[in-house]
Amino acid sequence: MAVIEAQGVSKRFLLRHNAAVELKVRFLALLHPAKRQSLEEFWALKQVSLRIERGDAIGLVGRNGSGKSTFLKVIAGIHRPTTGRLLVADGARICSMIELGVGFHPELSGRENVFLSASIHGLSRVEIERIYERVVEYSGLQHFIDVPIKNYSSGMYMRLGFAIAANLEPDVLLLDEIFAVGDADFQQRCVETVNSFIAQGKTIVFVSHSPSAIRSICKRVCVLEHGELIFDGDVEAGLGFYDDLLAGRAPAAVTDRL
Amino acid sequence: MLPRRPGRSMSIVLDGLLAATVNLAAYWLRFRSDRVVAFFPGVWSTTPFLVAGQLAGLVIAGAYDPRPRLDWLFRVIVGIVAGTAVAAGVVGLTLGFDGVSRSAFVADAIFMTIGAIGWRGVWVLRLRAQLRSAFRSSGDDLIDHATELTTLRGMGSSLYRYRELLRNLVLKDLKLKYRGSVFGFMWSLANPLLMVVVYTVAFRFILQVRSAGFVFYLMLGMLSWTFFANSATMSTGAVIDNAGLLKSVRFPRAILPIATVLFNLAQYLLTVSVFLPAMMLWYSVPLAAPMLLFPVFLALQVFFTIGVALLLATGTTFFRDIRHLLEVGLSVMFWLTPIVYELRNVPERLQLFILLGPVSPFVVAYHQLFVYREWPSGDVWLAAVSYALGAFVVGAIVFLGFEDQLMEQV
Repeated sequence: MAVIEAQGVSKRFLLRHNAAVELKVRFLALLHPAKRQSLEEFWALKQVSLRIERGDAIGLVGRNGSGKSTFLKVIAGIHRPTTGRLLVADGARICSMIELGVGFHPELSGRENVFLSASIHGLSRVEIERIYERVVEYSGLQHFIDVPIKNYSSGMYMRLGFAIAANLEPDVLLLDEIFAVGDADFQQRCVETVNSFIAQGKTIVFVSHSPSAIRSICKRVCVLEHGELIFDGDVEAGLGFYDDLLAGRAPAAVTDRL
Repeated sequence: MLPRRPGRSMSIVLDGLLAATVNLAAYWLRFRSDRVVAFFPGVWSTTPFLVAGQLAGLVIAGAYDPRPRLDWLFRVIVGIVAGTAVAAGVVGLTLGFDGVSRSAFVADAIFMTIGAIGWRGVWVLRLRAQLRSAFRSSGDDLIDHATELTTLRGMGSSLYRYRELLRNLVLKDLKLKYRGSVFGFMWSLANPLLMVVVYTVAFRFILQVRSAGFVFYLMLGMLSWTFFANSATMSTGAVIDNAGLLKSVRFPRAILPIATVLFNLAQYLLTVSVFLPAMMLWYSVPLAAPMLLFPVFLALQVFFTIGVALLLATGTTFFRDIRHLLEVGLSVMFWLTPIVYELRNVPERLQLFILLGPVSPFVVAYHQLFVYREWPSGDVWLAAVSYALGAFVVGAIVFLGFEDQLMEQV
């Protein structure tokens, strides 16, 4: 059963170099209809169609600027597709961990930030109170939970952020390279948590540049290049395909499912 | 499914009826009910000019042509303002201004704009709701969540689902404001208290204003003005200062400006709940039945302020200049609102102008309730209700219309 279905999703960004220029351009456009299209367009995603089944663990790979993060944000509902449609299963909770410690305010204590951050992800007070103990235990910050987080080390900050994300009980979890920041211990912990999600039948979409992280989590790999989906299939084949792409030996789209 | 807009001829008829009604209302506002009969000849002779002028303005500005997005909003405003100005000029040249009220033209233009945008706005919101249900029924168990937040009902229900976030955002601001200060919450009471002392010295002893309750009058207006002005100022940053949040989580964006309004409302209520009873005791203001209407006008003011906040938050993401413009605008608006002076002391022909200042209806209503202890007059009701609904509808359609673009602008 599909949880997420992208139907020909394209996303266009208008590059505005300077707001003052833009005002001038708009004014000129009133006088010269021909100049109306002078804003620079950039298509971050082009006609991406992808069906994600419940329980899938998909690794999104691609060079910097290939549209991975944009696609993740479209799935998360942060960006709206310019054309095409992005469908999600009714009632599925999609949590994006594009950044750790979303909405944290340095002056607030750890406890207050847990409540704030969890409510940004749409949890009700009852739900937050239910997961609160688990979050604190997972983060291992029992002694510091009432200290303003401006006094936290960056490691503590990340641990708290990840502890919240790990306990949001999502149906679909979107991860964007967040493991890259922590030490080996932290990364190990993250991979274990994500694997336990998969064991529970949750759906993961994971953006990473690390082949080892992809191998340890994903069952399926999608390669994006210049906003187009050029490979969709098995992990090893996908990583091999991506290596070839990086080395410039672009193989003629040998894809499983395309 | 609803058509994208009502047919052109139907729209024109609707606008024409609206223009005629509004003209009558403007005259009623200008001359109050007791004297309006004497001015009926003036109404009948100007109505055709105004209706024709406004409709012509709307047609020329292209308000009836199919336009993308919210283009019509600006065209409607431009069309009505220009149409009214031309009609007023024609009336002046042909009939002369004897027995014709010029300030009624201004009132006419304002209420015509609110009315014309209002019915179109309601149409747009209904259309969005229908589009959404059409989208929903097309898929099997998958839904397109891009269409979810763009309806008023979608916005309402998502605000309800995210009420914990709304509460936490308001609490966060309240906590942060006083955290670390020794007197904490006492400051939100100390500031108005100092204001009372300063105003008493300034107005009673230096300027020698004789009326005893003047400081009470002043504070009533000042506190509700502060609520509005602070909300407006903070709302300009509500979206752009939270860029990091917008870029990493999906949540109803309207929460951000609404939270700033509620934060200021919380502060206003805290202050008022202490100061209003205290000042009423101090200045021995007797209780009166009209005071029961306070929550009604406060609710109207909150609606109005939320509408303005949604508009400013969206506007600032596209044009940062709005922040600076607002600073100047607020200081002009402060003097256009009867806070430091009394509306009844304003020259009679200017009273309507002052009453139509954006925040004036609310402030005047509080004065009527607490200082004059009388039921709010019809013109105050009309202005307060139409400003509240007008601002809310415009704020909602602008915010919903541009919500998907906010992300790309922050």
